[in-house]
Amino acid sequence: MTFIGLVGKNLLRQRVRSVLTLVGIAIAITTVVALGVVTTGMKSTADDFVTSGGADFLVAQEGAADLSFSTLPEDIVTEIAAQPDVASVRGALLHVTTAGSNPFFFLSGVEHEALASQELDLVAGRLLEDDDERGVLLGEKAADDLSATVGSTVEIGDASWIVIGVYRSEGLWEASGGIAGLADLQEVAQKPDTVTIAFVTVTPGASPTVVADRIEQAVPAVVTIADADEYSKVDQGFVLVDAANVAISLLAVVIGGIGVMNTMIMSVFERTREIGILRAVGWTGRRVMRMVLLESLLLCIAAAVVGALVGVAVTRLVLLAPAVQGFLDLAYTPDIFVRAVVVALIVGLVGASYPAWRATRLSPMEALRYE
Amino acid sequence: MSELAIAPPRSVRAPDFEGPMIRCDGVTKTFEEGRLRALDGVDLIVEPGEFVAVVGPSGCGKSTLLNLMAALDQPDDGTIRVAGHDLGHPPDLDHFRAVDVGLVFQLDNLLPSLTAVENVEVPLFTTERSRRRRRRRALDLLDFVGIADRADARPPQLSGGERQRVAIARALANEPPLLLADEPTGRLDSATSARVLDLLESLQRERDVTLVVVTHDPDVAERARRVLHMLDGRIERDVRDP
Ligand SMILES: Nc1ncnc2c1ncn2[C@@H]1O[C@H](COP(=O)(O)OP(=O)(O)OP(=O)(O)O)[C@@H](O)[C@H]1O
Ligand SMILES: [Mg+2]
Repeated sequence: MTFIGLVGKNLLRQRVRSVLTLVGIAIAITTVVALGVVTTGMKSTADDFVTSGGADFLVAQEGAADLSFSTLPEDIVTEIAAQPDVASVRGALLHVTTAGSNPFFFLSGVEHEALASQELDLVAGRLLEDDDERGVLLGEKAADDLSATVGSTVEIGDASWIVIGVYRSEGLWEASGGIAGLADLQEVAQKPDTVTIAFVTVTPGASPTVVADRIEQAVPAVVTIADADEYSKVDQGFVLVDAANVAISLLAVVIGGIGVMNTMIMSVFERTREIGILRAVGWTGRRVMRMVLLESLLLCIAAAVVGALVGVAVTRLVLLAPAVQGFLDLAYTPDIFVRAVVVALIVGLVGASYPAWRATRLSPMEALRYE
Repeated sequence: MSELAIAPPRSVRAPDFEGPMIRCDGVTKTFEEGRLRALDGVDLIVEPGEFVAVVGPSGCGKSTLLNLMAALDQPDDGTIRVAGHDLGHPPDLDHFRAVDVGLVFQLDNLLPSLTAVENVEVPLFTTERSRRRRRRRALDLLDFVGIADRADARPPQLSGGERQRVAIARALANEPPLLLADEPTGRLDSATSARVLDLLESLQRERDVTLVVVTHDPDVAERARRVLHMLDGRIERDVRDP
């Protein structure tokens, strides 16, 4: 018999109790994993968006409550373009509306000339031209969802658009959204002479950070955003999501920890006499403590494995809903699973520390006399 | 009864002390904040190889004395030396419990979730790193006490006599020079207790183990070379070769 074998036997004695505790911790771990997968996916989608069309960063209105509420006068695009080391600026009007099964259809309006520099990967049709009346380019996913091909007419929000081209994109919002002419969209969205944001590409060799800082200094009332973390400049969403993530992980630790502690206290309590026997045959208090801690850790690691698998399964199931596919991407990065294991280990240690201490606090004599 | 083929773990040193196996000087133990005097100045010397029975009415302090000798508890006053160790100045009482003394209680002193052989392995965890050697020695010990065929049975599946044999095998795991037993035949019928006593006696006779047995059982007292009669926390009479 190995030490681990002994620990496993102890866990198997109260099978139902061990399994219920495992389920409790696994649920907490599932939550941690599912949240992690969703938020990491959201961030990577946001990152893709910031750098879409080869841009290095984007410029938005300072103090806007949300990126979609940002409003910049169209002239600002020219002003930014005049800054040193700026290779190109693409003003974009963002219009989020419904189309087909997608409740968050992302339609962005850009100048036809800027479109050319965006290096769109067209799979059908052509780019927008000045004579196109209400012409739209659709991402592949959007075209699929709307069953649209080049030449067909699609309903996006309240307006009708003619599909001029279909492009392929890695970015989720782009792939399941569309691109329209800036003037057309300004008219439809009733936002004349304004853009929401501007995508900036710096000249090769120039540092995007330096250029971004310079723009924030030189152009009044704008902020620059280079990645998902900088969204907090205009959008508290990610900050809230991050905070919720931490809070829920903590809650998982607390709830899981209480569950484990309850189980371990009961099991140590019931085995007081047995612990007395172990001490009487020469086991040190440390060895007994190690046994109790290992029981708890084994339980929590098993729960982490179960919880992570269920977390992956649950998020994959959610993604089966077509409405979700258009705006939610999932990312299964290693750090999510590392976090799950760390949470489980903390739960195991926290939950077992008091019972383990209690197990060794009694003298062998007291433990043996315990009824 | 076969001889043990597997040697005790290497980390177990041979007893290398001079003088008595047990020496108690003025040992006093009180409970309930001093109101209850369980032991009241016990002086006692037990030489290596002796077979001593401790008898006396219930509550006279027999178990308390045995537990102090096993370093499960500390006296309030007086000194106890066992196998050359002063139990008042413990360098390592855990190690003492593991290798210098073997304990057998009345009943229910096995771990119920472990098989017989696993129960015997338990004390070997502290002295033997190799899982395979632990197992081999435990099996050998079960063979020695005559229940090798029950090695994989768990305590609830064993008879009282078989359980006591497992407990004795476990007490012998690290080959201690001293075996302390607290009413080892207390719940056994007379035929079974006779067999357990044969085993204990053979240990003392053939392997030179010092035996101290607390008992109510006149049969046990009869076999012992020396009987200590206790009353109210004191040794009233010390009778040799009764
Ligand atoms: N841990 C303890 N706490 C309080 N009182 C104790 C404790 N251990 C023993 N006692 C008391 O000390 C006295 C001696 O107890 P002990 O167990 O040594 O008696 P005993 O001679 O073994 O009796 P029995 O033959 O009934 O087993 C008893 O009055 C008992 O109640
Ligand atoms: Mg007693």
